[in-house]
Amino acid sequence: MDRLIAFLTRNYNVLLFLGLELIAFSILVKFNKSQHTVFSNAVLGVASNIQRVNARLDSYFQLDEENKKLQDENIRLRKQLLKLDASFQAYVHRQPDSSGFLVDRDTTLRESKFKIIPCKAVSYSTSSSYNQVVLNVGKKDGVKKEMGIISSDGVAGVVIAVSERYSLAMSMLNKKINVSARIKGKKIIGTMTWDGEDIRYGSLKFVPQHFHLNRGDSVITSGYSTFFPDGMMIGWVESVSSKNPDGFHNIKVRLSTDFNQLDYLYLLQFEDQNEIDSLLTKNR
Amino acid sequence: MLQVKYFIHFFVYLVLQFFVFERMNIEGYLPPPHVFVLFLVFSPLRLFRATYFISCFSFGILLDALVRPLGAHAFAAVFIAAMRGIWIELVKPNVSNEELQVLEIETQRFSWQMLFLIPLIFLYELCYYILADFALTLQTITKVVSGTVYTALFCVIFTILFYRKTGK
Repeated sequence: MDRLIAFLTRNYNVLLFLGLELIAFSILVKFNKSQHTVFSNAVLGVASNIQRVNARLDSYFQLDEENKKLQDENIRLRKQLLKLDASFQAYVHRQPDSSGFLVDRDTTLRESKFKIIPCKAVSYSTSSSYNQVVLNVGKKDGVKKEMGIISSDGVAGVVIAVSERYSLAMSMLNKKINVSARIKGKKIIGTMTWDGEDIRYGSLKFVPQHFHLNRGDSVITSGYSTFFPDGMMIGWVESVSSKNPDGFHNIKVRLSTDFNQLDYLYLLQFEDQNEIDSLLTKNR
Repeated sequence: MLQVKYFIHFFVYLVLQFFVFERMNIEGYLPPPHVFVLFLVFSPLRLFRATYFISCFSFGILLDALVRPLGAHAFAAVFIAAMRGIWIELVKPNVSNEELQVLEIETQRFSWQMLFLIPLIFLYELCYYILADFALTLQTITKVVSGTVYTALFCVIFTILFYRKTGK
């Protein structure tokens, strides 16, 4: 209080000057029509600019929250898609019962076997021959080895190691990766790999040369693995070469995922993974 | 005595401005001369600054009540009151700070009086016409320049007649 009084006493001339100017200016804009109009418009303009900047700042600070909402929405839609796809497969594979009506062979087919765990890339590489991605989810989030990873654009990689809070995955840009793939709309199966050269392109191997492929054909997951369900986008056929003496096409595939911009990702958890693992262990 | 003289000047300039000088505008060519700026600028330096600010504001607001727009003269008068304090520090004659507080403007040389007065007239006109037009257009600048010249002309005459002490 003493300081305030001291400040007022020391600067009363300045404060008086500012006060009188403020009163004069208020009178000017309040009692003169043209000044009032110009001033009101100016204030309105400034206020709307401040509000615009404020709204931008707000939206910037709420970006994380918005991203989270979008990611949740994506998960919900992807779950629906997986369920619809499973239902469609069950519908296609119906068989007649004793009375001749078409019924599902197995009612469990109508449910998708995959669950989705949202995650974010903490770091990733694209310059090595064995590129990897570190994810912000680990054992405590239910992540296990050999879970598939997809981005909003398509297949991104497979988990190879898991710690309590983080997990490590090899991306599609890893020379060790093999993903079972097929050409959409055709019964052509192959294995998707990466040759370690261009990060935009992968290779579809083991497609016999008697199959005819076109540039632009979609390459999707085959569903013949526990990493990915059937129909996940991998990329598009860029070029086909049939000069290999081994009898297989040399197919260059443009990858749908941009590996320079990995951010929000989804882990796919195959529900029957444990059962299949134990089966494989017993018969090894 | 000082207060009485100041009080009389206050009303004389106010009445003169409203009844005489406001009618001396040559419509479309020259704005009215604001001769009362001479009173504001040449007010005794011995006055308390707060008293000086309040009297300038009162003069301005009373004049505004007579000639519109309301508030423009009051703002410009307080502005010029503050500027006077800064300007005199920059152009003060060869005197100490203590002497400056009691300096009599009337006793100073005519050239110094003009050096002190004319820039403040310009600032007054600039401030007033910007507020009156509420814009800074070519027309406003024309008014500021012509107003400064016209006002300065009258102020020079008034200075020679009333603000020169004989024998100095």
